[in-house]
Amino acid sequence: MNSSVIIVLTIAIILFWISLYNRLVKMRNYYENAFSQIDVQLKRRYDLIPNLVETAKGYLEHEKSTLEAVIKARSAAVSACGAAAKDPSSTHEMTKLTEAEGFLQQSLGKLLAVMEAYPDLKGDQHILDVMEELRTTENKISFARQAFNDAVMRFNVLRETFPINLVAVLFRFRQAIYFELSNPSEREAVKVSFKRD
Amino acid sequence: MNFFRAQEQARSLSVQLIVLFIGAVFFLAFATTSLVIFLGPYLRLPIDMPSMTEILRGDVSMSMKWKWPSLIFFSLTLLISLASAIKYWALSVAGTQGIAEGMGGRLISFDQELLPPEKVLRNIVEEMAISASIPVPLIFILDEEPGINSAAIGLSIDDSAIVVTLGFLKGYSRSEAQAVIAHEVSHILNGDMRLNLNMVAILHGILFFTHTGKKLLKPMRSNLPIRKNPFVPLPLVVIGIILFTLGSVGHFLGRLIKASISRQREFLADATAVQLTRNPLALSTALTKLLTWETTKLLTRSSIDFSHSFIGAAQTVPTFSWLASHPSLKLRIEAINPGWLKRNFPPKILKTIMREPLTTMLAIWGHDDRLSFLTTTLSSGSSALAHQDTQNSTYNASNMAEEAPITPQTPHGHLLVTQTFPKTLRPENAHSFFEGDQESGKKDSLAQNRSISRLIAETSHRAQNFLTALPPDLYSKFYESQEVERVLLALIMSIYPGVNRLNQKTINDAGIFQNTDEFLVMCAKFSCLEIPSLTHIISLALPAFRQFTHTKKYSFLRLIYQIFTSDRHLELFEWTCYIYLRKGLGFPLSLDYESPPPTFLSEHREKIAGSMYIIALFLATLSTYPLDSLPLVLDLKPPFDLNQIKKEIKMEDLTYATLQIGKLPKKSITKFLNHCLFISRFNEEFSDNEYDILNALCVSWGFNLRQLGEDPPLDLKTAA
Repeated sequence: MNSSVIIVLTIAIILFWISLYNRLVKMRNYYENAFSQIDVQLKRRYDLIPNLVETAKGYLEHEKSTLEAVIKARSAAVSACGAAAKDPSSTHEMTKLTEAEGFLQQSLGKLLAVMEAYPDLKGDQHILDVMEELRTTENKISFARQAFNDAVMRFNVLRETFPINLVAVLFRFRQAIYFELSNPSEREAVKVSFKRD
Repeated sequence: MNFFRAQEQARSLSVQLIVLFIGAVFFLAFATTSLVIFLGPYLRLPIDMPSMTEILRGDVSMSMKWKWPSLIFFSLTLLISLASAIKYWALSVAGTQGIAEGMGGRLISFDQELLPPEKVLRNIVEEMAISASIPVPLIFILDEEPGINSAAIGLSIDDSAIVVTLGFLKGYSRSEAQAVIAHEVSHILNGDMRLNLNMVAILHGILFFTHTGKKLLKPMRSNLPIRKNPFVPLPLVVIGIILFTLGSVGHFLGRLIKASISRQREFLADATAVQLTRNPLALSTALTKLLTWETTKLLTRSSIDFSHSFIGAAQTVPTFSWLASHPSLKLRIEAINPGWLKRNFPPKILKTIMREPLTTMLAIWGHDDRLSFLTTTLSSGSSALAHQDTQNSTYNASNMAEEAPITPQTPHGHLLVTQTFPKTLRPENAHSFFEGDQESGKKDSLAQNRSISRLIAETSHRAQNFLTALPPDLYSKFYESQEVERVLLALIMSIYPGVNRLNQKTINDAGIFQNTDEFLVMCAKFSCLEIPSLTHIISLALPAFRQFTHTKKYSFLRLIYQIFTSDRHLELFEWTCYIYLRKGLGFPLSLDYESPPPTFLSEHREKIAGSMYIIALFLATLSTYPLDSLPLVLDLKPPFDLNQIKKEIKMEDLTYATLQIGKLPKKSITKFLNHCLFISRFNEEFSDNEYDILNALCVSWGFNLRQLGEDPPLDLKTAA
């Protein structure tokens, strides 16, 4: 009688621990998946930028430096993104990516501000289309980032609550890092104006 | 709002309610069982049941005691479950896409060529799906619904759809649309449709009780007394009554619980929507626009059938009741943004909005700004309303009457001139007509390098594209004499940000539309599109007018004029449109009043020069041509100070000038028209409105703009 109770209890405890472990794994997969969505959208933006620059080139002959800065920031961000996608839980790669993204956003913002000053450019339907695409991509990036951060938050909360924290320590679940922009000036959103009037 | 906590609260409340729901079902079965057991002996039921006294005395064995009660209880539960399961199957078999198409939805697929608003909608849905980390739902548009409304359907996250009305595309700004789409996505994310289906199925199971009871009582309908009716055994009647009463009560209670769960889920979806967008303000303004049911109502039968899944009220005035599936919008806004509604919409204004739903709706269409629709409502609709109120009732609302600018008798009133085009129609000229910046002297423009015939062709090409992009049924209406009046009227009205009450009345009185809804549907269809050159579209519609009688043509013209002047402002585009239509229908040029010569044109010689300058002034302002250079182009000395005159100039003067120049020999007019073309092409583009004005001028002087397609002489180019 006694031994069977002990066996049942042990099995129950083991099952409970397995379920905790599985929950942690599930949450980790959630946030990793959420990162892949950011990744997709960032790449989409990288693809859009050459298109935008190409279209704007004809109009913006005097703004070569702005255009070059955008191209440069883009290629830096592309490589940082590739590295970060391989290991979203690595603090070092994430910081590098946020830095590169900040630069890109800054230079892109400058380009869009310059474009605002050229009325010819705003009349171009093609430019309007590209800008619209850019705007929705900006939104998608920020929403993907938000979804990622929400998933990270849920994971971290789970990781730190008792008794899951015991499992987390045992199996070395690292704390997930939020996708944040470190420099306040980089926090400014890219201004995409759709005012046609 | 703290959306995480709000979500937790809503969720735990929903769980409690669901437990209550299942409990209610068991209680129902239990109550029926115990009633049957209690009444069993008296009814002489053909079952081998120990009586109450026997049970109490303990004469019977355990198994005997529980045999029948448990049998009845479990069979009842089984019956309810079975009926629920059948209903569930019947409801879920239709499939998401089938339901959406049944509602009259048009699928917005991901590969087809889309109109700009549809593209934005698709982008927004994609954004929200990313934010919620779910697959992108299908998107459907209800083309026949001008109201602002939306719904989420589908039983699982992988197979779901979002349905929006045509009015949704027009009435919401991007961020508001995003907020409402986030709300719908939250419904999908939280699995509310499946929950709702479950509850409907269980309710149906309970309803099965009622139906069985009714069936048993059916023979009672005959006039014979129960005791003497040989076909009705008494026990069955009693059981019938029990089933019917308990079933009805249970169904009612079930509906109460269902409604209350569904209200909690709305709060939950709001909270989740705020989590997805992090923009509570947009959701608040979006919900404000749903406050009046006229703005949200559905028109087609197929979509009314699904009214419970729509965010806005579909048919009736939403009043709170315990059976309402949605909480009152005011409560929801209060939960999202405490105090916001009261701060921005004082009770008095809110009342006006509720009273004047049609104006609100039309005002909403025209405005994308957060709250500007309100000001429009107050300045156009409600002041007209206030004016009428003062006419009807005793004269007490003096403050309201002061702001009432609309008087019913406009044609003879002094027509003020606003020199702007409506923003929705003419985006490129949003700066006020005479306040446009004159410095922007970009000489090397694109338009200068293209021939005028090419530019004209491009404009008409745009107009043609606009027409062919219309749904075929709408397009063909431009060529049918029975329909052309309506379609043209709807097109013109769709340009306005809001149709005021007076215009609504004028249109109703004209009897062109059978009902307001028909007019609204047609307006909504156009108001989603960017309208190109109006004169070109009118010219396409003109052949259909040929079959009209003279009086009918004239009354249509009068109607258009009444609408244009109802606000006592005749705008340049209205002038153009009216002049063109008037000429096209075969009436001589004039506005419907005697136009005196402008005071600054006195002598005969000066009249022609002055007229030329008046027209040139309008065109120059449109194309940002420097006024100082006008004398070089026209090769005349200006008879007045141009900068001084441009502040005083009115539309009557334009008509007068047009009439004056029409008296000149053909050759001079051609020369002048070429000058006009040159001025219009000064800025980087030859816009649709410039085309419209030139077209109207040409027609009123008996010219064809396209035949003018030669470039002006070279010396003019150098002159600038």
